[in-house]
Amino acid sequence: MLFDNYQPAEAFDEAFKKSGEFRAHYQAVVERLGDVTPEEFQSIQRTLSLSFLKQGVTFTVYNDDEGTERIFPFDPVPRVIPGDEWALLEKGLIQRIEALNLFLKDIYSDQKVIKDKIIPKETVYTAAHYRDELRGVKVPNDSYVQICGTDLIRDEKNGYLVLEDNCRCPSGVSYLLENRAAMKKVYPSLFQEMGVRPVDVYSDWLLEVLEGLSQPDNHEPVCVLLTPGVYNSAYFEHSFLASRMGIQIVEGRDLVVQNEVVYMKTTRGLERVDVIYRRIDDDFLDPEVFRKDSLLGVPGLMRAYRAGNVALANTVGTGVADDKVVYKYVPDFIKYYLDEEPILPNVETYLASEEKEMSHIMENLDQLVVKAANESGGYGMLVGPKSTKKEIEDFRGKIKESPRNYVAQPMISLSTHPTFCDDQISPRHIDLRPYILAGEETRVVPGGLTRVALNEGSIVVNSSQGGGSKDTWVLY
Amino acid sequence: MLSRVAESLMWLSRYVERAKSLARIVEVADQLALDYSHPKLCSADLFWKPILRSYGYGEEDIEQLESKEDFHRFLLVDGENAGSVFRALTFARENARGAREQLSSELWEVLNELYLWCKDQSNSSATLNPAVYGARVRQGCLQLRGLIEEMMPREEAWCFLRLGTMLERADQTSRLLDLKTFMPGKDDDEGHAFEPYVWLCIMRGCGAGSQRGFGNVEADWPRLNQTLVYNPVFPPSIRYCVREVNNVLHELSGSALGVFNNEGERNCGRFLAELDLGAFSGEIEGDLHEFLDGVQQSLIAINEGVHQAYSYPADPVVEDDEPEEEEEPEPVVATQTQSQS
Repeated sequence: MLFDNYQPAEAFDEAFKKSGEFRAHYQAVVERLGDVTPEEFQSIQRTLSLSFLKQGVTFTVYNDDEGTERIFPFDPVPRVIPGDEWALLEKGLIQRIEALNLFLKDIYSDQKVIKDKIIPKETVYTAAHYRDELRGVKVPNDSYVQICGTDLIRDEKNGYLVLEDNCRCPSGVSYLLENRAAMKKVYPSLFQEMGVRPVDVYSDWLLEVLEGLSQPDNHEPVCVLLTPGVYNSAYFEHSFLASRMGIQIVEGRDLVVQNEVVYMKTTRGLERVDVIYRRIDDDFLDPEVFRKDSLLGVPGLMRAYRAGNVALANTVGTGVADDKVVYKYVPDFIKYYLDEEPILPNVETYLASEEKEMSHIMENLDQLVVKAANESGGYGMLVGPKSTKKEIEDFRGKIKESPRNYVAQPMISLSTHPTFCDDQISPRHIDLRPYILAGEETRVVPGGLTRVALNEGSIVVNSSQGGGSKDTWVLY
Repeated sequence: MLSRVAESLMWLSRYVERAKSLARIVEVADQLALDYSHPKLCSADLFWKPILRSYGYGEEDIEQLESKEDFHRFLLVDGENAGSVFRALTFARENARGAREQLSSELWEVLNELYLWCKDQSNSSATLNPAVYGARVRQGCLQLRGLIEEMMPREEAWCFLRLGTMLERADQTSRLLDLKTFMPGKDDDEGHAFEPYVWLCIMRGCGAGSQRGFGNVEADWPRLNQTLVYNPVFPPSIRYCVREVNNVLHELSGSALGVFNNEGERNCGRFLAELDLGAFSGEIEGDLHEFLDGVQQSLIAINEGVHQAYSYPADPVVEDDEPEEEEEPEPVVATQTQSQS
């Protein structure tokens, strides 16, 4: 019996209580999977890995001569979220993205939030992804972020917490969809028995959101997905989403701007493009405006955009909301714009740029997690309790040098989940990335990408750093 | 369809056809070499060097190779040789990635699996058996063709795939016919005894090994021309391929046969007319090698015409920029010309 020897770790365990009993919503999973032998489990895992490899559900590892394609390791023990718990998460996520959209609209127009002293002007203006040149540019439906992936974690004391917002080009949704397809083949009976909500609607919703950004007079809006190209680490996801939605996947060199209108180059000549779901960062979008050396972008795109002839999802400049210093103010935005209490709290955050907080950080470096304000993917991070003296001192220097670029948080013990590792089921730390789509209506796909730190004790779940994924089952 | 995607589709099927053809000739030559021993020449001189010459490799490449295992590895699995079967499949896969939303997931998976298998072979140090390798590659390539023929609507994507296959097949047939130029022939002392092997190598290499009455191994050169150059209904024949290209081009442009819309169609029409007229006598006038060179040039001209007709001409001309002669944009990863001297 696979679960018989399961020892929940110190942290909050999603499936088991401290007493060793499973939580009610895990009953079916524990009972069914408990009967599976380790050999069968290994064979399931092998089959799944092989099928991902064959389908090319891979990401590319950079810094590797061969540009090796790897699969994102997949753990076949599903995470289960009960319906009522999900309802709360959903409300909290929708509240948060509404506030973020109002914040973005505000700072790219009147900046009342600065005038009312909710957030310091310098904080906004020094955010790496703030784009002052876009102030005053009207965007369709006043909507800045249409596609968002918010990272949540959970601990014993506080329940779910928001770790970070991803308002630029959040990735990973293809894993959510592919993981589900794989799980349905492996455990068909469990889905019926437990009542798992389907996630397949994602691509329909996404297309609806994209089409909602443009109302051309005499034709259906033409939407395309703009990718950096086949060598990008998320290219599989780009082509997967484009083909699910039935839209063209284009590279920068497939597009051309004439008279401030964007066209794609087709075998029948030029065809007008109305909406671009771009999976290229702001910096590379348009060499006329941003990085001059970008070969990925489309010269003139921003002119077309300012003229209102093309919509971009997400809008340019949304990265300011991903800044980890700005993050600290999001609960205040929720109160300020919506006059509501935040449903999903932030992780307590100290800013190195604030004198008092700086001294707290300096005194407790060995207890804190320090993050660079504009890095993602688990890079530029110090996990105090797990670092050597030298690493801590190195970071101390970096923080002093540019306080604006660092924040610190107490070390949160991420919740754990039963995970199949080395022939047995053991607890491993996890997080959760749900995907939010904000169109006429804001919706959260009932599911998400559960990332799991496969190395024992590790709390870094990023795919680039030894992370894997699980399917996330939201119940009716 | 995006011009880039159309181009990728064409190159995808070109590379698949190339991989299939190359795997087959290595397999065929290897089997024939087992049957024939020459008093003076070794199998490298009889088979492998002529094959490399016919594919346009330079003498410096050829000199590096000694044993027949060297030749096998070089042609089948060598990751450094842009003309190897493995590299052809790598290019095919890269092009497929760039056009993936036009292809069924099944098709992609078959190609990807074949690629992964060949990659394993490339990384392995075990001795290659061309018969096993060839069988796997041909099976995979034929499965791909089957999926394309069975599952794809006869629309643009199919047309570009078809175009690539037929252009490449004609090119491959011409290269194999050229073995007659490069393999030891009549002038050689032992040439007469070897002649049937040349003939067999070409016929089997082109997949014409199961033609009726093939039990006869006497070299029958007129039949070779009739089968592989002028035959109107046999798929490996050059005339057949060019006529298919012609049909597909007119399907793409929607114009009637005999009406020419672009350089691709004009070049193809001209070449097809030459072949149709030549078929009357069924003979090749003049030197075979020159004739085949002409075939390859005509195919390149068609390819260039197609590229011009279906890609967006040039980037908009910016004022005070003098118009530059734009290099033709390369397809994803692919080199347009084969490793030709």
